[in-house]
Amino acid sequence: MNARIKLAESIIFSAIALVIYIATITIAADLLPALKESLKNTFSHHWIGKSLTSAALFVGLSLVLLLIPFKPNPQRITRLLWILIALTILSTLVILGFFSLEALLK
Amino acid sequence: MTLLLLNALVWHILLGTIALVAIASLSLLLRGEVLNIKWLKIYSFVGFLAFLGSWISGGYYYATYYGKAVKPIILATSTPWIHTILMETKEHIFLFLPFLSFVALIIVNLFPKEIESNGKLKQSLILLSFLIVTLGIVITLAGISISGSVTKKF
Repeated sequence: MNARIKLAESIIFSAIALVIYIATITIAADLLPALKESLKNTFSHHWIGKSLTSAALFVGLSLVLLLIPFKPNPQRITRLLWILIALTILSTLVILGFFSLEALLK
Repeated sequence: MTLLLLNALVWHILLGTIALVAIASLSLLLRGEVLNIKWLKIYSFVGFLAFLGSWISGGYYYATYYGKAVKPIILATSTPWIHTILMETKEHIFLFLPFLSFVALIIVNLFPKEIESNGKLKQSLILLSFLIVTLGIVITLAGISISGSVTKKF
């Protein structure tokens, strides 16, 4: 049971980090042309770069959290899910707001 | 557009729609008093797999064709915001969906009995699947606007 709880907590926590990462890299790459260029040069396209680094972050962080010893807590799963839901909504609004503002200012 | 690109676009739309239907079904099934665990597992698996396929096929179309051939047409129309706001937002928030559906898949498979007995876990899973469906619908509508923008006369 503990192994299942730890696996779930690791994956949900990684998803939370991923949502924050996607919102951050999206805005940062748009504001910093050097970052966008570096993603393009490394991965052939900035969006592929964002996709692959997101997947790598998710898998890597999930594995690291699985290896790090911590006490699994079944109550934390629901809390983490709520945080994931809230941050996904917030990140979506931040990305939409950012591109809307950018389009208005151009 | 080559046949490969056309296929990539069609599969992106088709798999995205299949994923939406599967996760919407998961959401509806979770609302029942007695849960059909077998179908919860099937819907969450199909939803995740279809989002993954839609991500790969749509990504291929977007990275190899959209920027060169479609984006300039949209920017030249009277509604360039369809690219600058809708497409820019769509291409990035889409990245959430395969991971969110993977979380749903993991929860359903790791805690099938607990979902039935733990109301809070069940509620949060319903909300997560509802969020995936809502984002999916928003992305689909943005996709329809993008396609419409390319084909409209200006």
